[in-house]
Amino acid sequence: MPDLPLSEKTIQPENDQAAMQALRDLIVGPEQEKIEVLETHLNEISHPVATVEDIARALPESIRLRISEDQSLQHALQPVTEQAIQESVRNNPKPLSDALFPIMGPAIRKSINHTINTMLQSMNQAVENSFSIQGIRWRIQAMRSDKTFAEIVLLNTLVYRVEQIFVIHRESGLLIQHIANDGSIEEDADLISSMLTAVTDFVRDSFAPGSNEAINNLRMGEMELLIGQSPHITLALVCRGSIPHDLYSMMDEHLELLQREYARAFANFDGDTSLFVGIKDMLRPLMVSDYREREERKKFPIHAFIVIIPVMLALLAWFGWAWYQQRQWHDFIQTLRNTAGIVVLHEKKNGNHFVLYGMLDPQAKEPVTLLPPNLSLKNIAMHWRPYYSFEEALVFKRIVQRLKPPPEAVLSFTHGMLTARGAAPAAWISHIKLRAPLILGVLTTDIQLRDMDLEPLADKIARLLMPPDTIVLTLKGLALTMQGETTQGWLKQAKNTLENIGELQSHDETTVLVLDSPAYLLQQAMARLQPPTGITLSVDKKRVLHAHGKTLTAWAKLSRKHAVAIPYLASYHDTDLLLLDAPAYLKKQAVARLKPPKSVALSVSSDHVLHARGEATAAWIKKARIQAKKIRYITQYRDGAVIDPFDRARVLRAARKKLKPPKGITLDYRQGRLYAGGKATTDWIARAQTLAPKIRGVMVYDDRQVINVMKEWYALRASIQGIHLSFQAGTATFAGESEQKKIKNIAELFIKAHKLSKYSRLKVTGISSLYGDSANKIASQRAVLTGKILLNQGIRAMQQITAIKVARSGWGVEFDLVDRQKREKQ
Amino acid sequence: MIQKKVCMLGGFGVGKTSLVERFVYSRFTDEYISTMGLKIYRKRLSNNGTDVNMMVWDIYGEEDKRKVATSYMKGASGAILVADGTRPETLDTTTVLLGRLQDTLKVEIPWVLLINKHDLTDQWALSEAQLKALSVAGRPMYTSSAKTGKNVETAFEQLAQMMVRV
Ligand SMILES: Nc1nc2c(ncn2[C@@H]2O[C@H](COP(=O)(O)OP(=O)(O)OP(=O)(O)O)[C@@H](O)[C@H]2O)c(=O)[nH]1
Ligand SMILES: [Mg+2]
Repeated sequence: MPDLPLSEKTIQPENDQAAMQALRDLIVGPEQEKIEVLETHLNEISHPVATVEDIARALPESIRLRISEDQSLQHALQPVTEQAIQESVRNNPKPLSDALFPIMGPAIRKSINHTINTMLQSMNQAVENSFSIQGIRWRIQAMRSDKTFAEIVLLNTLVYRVEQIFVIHRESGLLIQHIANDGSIEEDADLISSMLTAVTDFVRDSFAPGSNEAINNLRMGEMELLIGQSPHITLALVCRGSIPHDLYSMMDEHLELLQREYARAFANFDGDTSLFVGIKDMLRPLMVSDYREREERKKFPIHAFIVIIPVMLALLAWFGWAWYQQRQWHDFIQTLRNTAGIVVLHEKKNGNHFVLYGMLDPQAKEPVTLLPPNLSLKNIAMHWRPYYSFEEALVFKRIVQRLKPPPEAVLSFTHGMLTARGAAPAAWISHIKLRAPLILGVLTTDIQLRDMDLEPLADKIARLLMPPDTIVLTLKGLALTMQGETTQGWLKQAKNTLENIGELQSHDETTVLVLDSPAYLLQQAMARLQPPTGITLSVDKKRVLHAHGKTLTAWAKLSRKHAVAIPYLASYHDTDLLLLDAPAYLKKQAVARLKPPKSVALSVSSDHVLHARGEATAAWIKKARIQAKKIRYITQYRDGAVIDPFDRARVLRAARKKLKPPKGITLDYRQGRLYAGGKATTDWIARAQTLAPKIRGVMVYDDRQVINVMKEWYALRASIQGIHLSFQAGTATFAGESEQKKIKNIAELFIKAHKLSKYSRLKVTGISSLYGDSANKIASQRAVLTGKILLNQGIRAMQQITAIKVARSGWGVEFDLVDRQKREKQ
Repeated sequence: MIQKKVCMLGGFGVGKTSLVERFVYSRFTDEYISTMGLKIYRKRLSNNGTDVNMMVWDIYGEEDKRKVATSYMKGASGAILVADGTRPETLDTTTVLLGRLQDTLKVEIPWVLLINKHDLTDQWALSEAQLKALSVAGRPMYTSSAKTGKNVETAFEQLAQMMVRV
């Protein structure tokens, strides 16, 4: 990105060989004389050692030395240098503009390209489509150069144009306003503004330090910048083409204008540009431009065309004109045919002439006015015969012409019917009624006109009565008829008022519906409520609606809803209604029919279900079911909550449910007594004794037939525990014969116990009084032996054999009865 | 929208251009391309709801043989003074420039002092005490780095705030 390299480029010219050479000449040129003098001087003092070449070699070094000492040489050289640059710029401004261009150029050019392109969009198209020789030439030109066709057109047609205007705060370089030719917004306008300021500052500082003289013109490629300055602002115009001189003066005028208008705002400018929006419009007049077709290179070798073209053109014109005339005539006939009140009967062409026969309604458009512009009347003969057209538009014209309606009357005519609305004087009303049917084309009439003569009276009545929208007043002659609907109050007042209007001969309001009269309200109520037979409605003077009689809830509810909607009804009174299906009424009915005992309660729910609960005999329950069905409006009877406390089946069911008797127990019930029999455990017996009396219908619980199985079982256990087997010391041999008997006895006892409880287990324990390892062995052998014998007696999986060693003499095997269920439970 | 002109002032090679480039385009290069004349940048900032259009004038660095022209300082609303923390003498340059700025404008304008290249720790030539002494009396001073971006936005935004408040 090239920064502003101007100073370095021009002052250190090694960047630019040519300029460097020029600059060196300039710098050293004026010194040449001095050098010569020096040379002479040197020669004079006879030091011929130093030649011109030596000095030339020494000079740069001496200048460098001198400069490092102080600035006097620089001061001496400065004006010369600057002058030289100025001179150089004047002779050939290109180096300078080349230096400036890199920063300013692209930015401005970019935006201007955009402007041109948009502006040329339309022009481009116009030229593109034309076959002008110039257009083709421009195309070729565009093809040869790398410019777009649009740019070429612009270059060839544009004399000059102001593309953009910058209003810049002079001191800070900040952009105050920017205007573009096409109203577009230049994104980089603020940057351009600052750069422009930097550049002009730089140029001024470099070429005219101290002076306030500003540059007023910068050229960059095809663009030229016009710069004008006031104490506070810089005005820069970006232009294209050759600028007319008066643009400068115009610019100055505007600059002054701005300065005058905004002097204070400019002086206090702090970067806020919103104060200056008005500037845009003030500067619009500066947005000038001029386009011109350049007239040049008219000569073109087209000899052949000079001869052929006129002939061809003439031929073409002749054919064209004849064809055109024919077309026009055809169009004319078509127009006539489409025009109401005109009938074309016959039409032909006689050489150059056109002849036409037809019929014309007096109300129709004059045919001559329909003639196309290029058809001359000279060549046309038209023959018309009068007739009456039945076309609606023409009949209507006729009607208006004949009847001449006053402006207050509005007439319309469709499908043979004349409609008249609005107002008219009485005389004209009778006139139209008489004349209208006689007009040709009018088949029927519908005339409803207000008598304008009666209008003042009608107005007065309307003003005095102020009738509501629902009332229609009709004044026929001096008799007033009132129709529609209203309230008693208004009607009464209206009647009074009418009495006092002297001009009125009579008034009739018999057909007026009085909306709030009891009679009308009753009529409304009857219509809306549709009372069933058995209901009478009445409306009292206070506009209250009463309903009497017997009915159903549904109707009562609906009638309330409808009654509310009746206008002017004060209220609805229906508490006198007897609701046949109301729960309270139905309950009364049910009590009368079912005659329930005191222990039974009846109730009716809102869905008309009759419920009974309590206690009653089976006979009543049965009878009640039959009766309940007979009650009207009862949808269902539910008596699940009524019980017969002494019903055997029910009591037994309840007892089984409550007592949960085990398998061995049977229950029975007779006349308030619950009997239990069979075998049961102690627990169950105790529980049954407490629960049974609580069952409804159980007066006495009798469990005398229940046998407590556990008692027996414990007795058996005690017996089993009391039996021991004896063995010969230190062996697994029984002590005597009686031991076998004992085992048999054990087996019998155990079988009994097992019958009582299938969970019973016989525990066989082998015992030995010996010490040492063999003791266990012997105890175990004794138990096994006993177990085997028991097994042989049919006591199978029920036995349990263990062996223990214990210091006890005498016994070899002990027995015990255990209940596995109990153990498991623990 | 409010526009403000801001000048970058400081000795040559202290990093003025780098700081602006970092601020405006968020980029940095180690290459040293000395600014010949000046270059103008634009940055839009929003300060408490006010849009500030900052026109930043990156001016060539002050040299003995080439002082910064006062004409470029005219109309400035703020300045960023830049010194190079690895060359303490550049601090003196900022003092000189500040004096010239105030002489030119005749008024005090907001400024912020940046001691740049703080990322070059091994070459850093200012002690903490020296820095502390510089930042006395509420002088808006930051150590900054165009390379890492340290304090760059902070400095510009603070300047914007001061300019809008004035
Ligand atoms: N490490 C480091 N280098 C930096 C920093 N800022 C600038 N530089 C380098 O320092 C050199 C000079 O930077 P510039 O931004 O061109 O300095 P300048 O002040 O614009 O110089 P002039 O335009 O000549 O006055 C470049 O090589 C930069 O890469 C920084 O914060 N850290
Ligand atoms: Mg720079």
